[in-house]
Amino acid sequence: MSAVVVIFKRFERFWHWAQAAMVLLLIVTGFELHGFFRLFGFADAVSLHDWAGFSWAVLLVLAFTWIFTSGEWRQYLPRLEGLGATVRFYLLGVFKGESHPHHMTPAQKFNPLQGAGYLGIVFGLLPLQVATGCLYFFFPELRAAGWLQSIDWVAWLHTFNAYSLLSFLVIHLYMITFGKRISSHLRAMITGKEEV
Amino acid sequence: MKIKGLLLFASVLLLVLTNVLANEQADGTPKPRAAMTADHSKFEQLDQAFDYAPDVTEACLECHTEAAEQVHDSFHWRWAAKVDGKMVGKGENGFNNYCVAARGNESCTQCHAGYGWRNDKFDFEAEENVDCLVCHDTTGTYKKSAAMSGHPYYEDTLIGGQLIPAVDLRRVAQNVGQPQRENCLSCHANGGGGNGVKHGDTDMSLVDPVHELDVHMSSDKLNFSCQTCHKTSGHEIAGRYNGKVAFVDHQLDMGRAERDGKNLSCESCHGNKPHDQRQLDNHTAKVACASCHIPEMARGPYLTKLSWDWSTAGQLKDGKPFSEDALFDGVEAHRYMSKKGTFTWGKNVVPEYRWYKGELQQKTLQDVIDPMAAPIDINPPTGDYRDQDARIWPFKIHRGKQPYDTEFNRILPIKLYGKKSSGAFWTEFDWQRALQVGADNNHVEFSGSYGFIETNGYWPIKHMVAPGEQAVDCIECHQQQGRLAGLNDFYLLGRDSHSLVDAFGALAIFGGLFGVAGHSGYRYLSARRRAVNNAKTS
Repeated sequence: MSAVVVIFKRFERFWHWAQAAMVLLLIVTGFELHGFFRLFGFADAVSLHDWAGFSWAVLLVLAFTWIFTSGEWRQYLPRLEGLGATVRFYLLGVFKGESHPHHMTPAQKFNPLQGAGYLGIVFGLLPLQVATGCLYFFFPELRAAGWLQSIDWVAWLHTFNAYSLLSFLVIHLYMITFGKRISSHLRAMITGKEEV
Repeated sequence: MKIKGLLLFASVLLLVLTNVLANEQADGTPKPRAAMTADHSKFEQLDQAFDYAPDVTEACLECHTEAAEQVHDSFHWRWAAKVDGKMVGKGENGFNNYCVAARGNESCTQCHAGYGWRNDKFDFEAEENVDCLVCHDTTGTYKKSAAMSGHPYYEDTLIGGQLIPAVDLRRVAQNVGQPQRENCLSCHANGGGGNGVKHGDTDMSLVDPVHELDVHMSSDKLNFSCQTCHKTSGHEIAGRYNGKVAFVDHQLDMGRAERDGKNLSCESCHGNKPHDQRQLDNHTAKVACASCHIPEMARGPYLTKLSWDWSTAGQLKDGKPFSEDALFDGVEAHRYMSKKGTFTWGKNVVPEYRWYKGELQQKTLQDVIDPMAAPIDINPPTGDYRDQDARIWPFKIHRGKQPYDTEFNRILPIKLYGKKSSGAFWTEFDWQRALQVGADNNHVEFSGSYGFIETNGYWPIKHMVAPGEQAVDCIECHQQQGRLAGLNDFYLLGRDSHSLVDAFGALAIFGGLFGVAGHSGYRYLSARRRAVNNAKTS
């Protein structure tokens, strides 16, 4: 028996796709600023990176407000139950044609492994990236005020974290294919509806 | 009667109109007044057949009673200043990697603002020795002679095949005025032996530069004189001398009256937020305006000297000195001279960048150098990233190779200019003698053994500001092999990275891709195998 339920609410889908666009722009401009290639030109790359970064920061403020007021934060509570089964599924079961041990519900949209991952990303990596980005942006003012004398460790941390997020993105894009059909998860993130 | 009246009216009207027009220019603005309140051609003291320039000075001093004393206090007169308890400058102890030392080479004192500095007997306290005319001549006919240590040419003289007519001191004296660009540049553009040799940003093209070359001095727009920035007060002139900083960057927007004779910097007019754009304005805390707005040096038609190797000097052909020319950036110039050695030149040269806070350290002829540490920095700028007063500045770094005492490890001055038997290198081509006489003239000891050592001379670049659209592009510094490749005491976006961070990035991203490829590949294969098995069993 299968039913169609709304897993991803309207705001959540907006958050996801706006964030996707900004992160993509941030990655491209960030790589250009790091010296990997020339695309927009340095000055424009800086402006785009700054605008995208600040827009993303605003979006994250909205998202956290939503997460905490809607009770969605419960989705991110770490849980051990079912974790072993999920890991076993990705390492073995998927090759044997077994079905996913986690059953998605609106109250528990993440499997235990996924929940742990997003806990780290949403509450760790994303705020860290925005925070180091702000330090970077306001460095001249912070230096003038005597609070920060050099930018190197901020730059290293920001770059390190960017690489972490990008490597997550690689895994994230692959994980889309683990729905009922190859396209199920992608469709769900657009329409919000998932077949469970 | 009627006609007569009309005619009268018309002529009155015409009279009034011409009177009005006489005081107005064609565009209606009031006629400019003469810059000065005195017409020097009306002074009896100056209406004389002078045959000796110091007599003119005495005539000047009859009215300008304090002028000589003011000049005596100035760097234009002293050519040296006390720094850390020691006199330093081209007049005493200092040296460079062009002709090394001025002292003892009376031709160098051609550019001294005085008359007759031939040797140590020169009287620095004599008021009549001040040369008023070199700065205040407006006729362009007053030239100082190398052979007469700064006296003008009293007789018609052939110099290098060019006839320099005898000076008419009466005419020059009757036409004095505020110093013009030509006055300043006659020395400041021609130091080191010719136009453009020394500075890299100061040559004769500044007499009348196009807007592209110098936005401030071009007559198209601002038409600044030298003194517009180098404010003067009582013959004290704003600028950098030994022991005096050129500018104090953290004293921004000082009123012009306050910086008269004291401080000059771009910021004193432009402020430190001139771009109306935060990212660019943030640069001013660490980057001098000149670094971006003077994209290259020697941007005019003239070359500047980039290197000078004395060690090859003295070669003769058939017992005679010779010179060879070559093309440098499309302009012909000496490549070799028996008198001076080997040169390289350039124009539109990208400068080098150093931390600088308006002062240069000057090594002296008494300083012991470490030959192993060559090239020796003669006058390096100071400061670093953490120094609030320091900015990144463009420099011409003149590469020299010059004689030094291999026993005492000190730079050796050279006796260059002089008659036969004076020991002068340019007449005798005998290093041993020229170095001995040079050392004697400068009161330094010479062991008798000498060699040649590489040196760097630093010239901050600050003139020839280009139009804004020609400013250095971001990427020229924000890249690995860019203009700031050598300035490594801070993290520069686009240039710097942490190798471990980048290694982690490569591992995380490519590791992820590799994992995904393996996992999905095996997933696909196992799914196919299952499908085949299912087909078999059913």
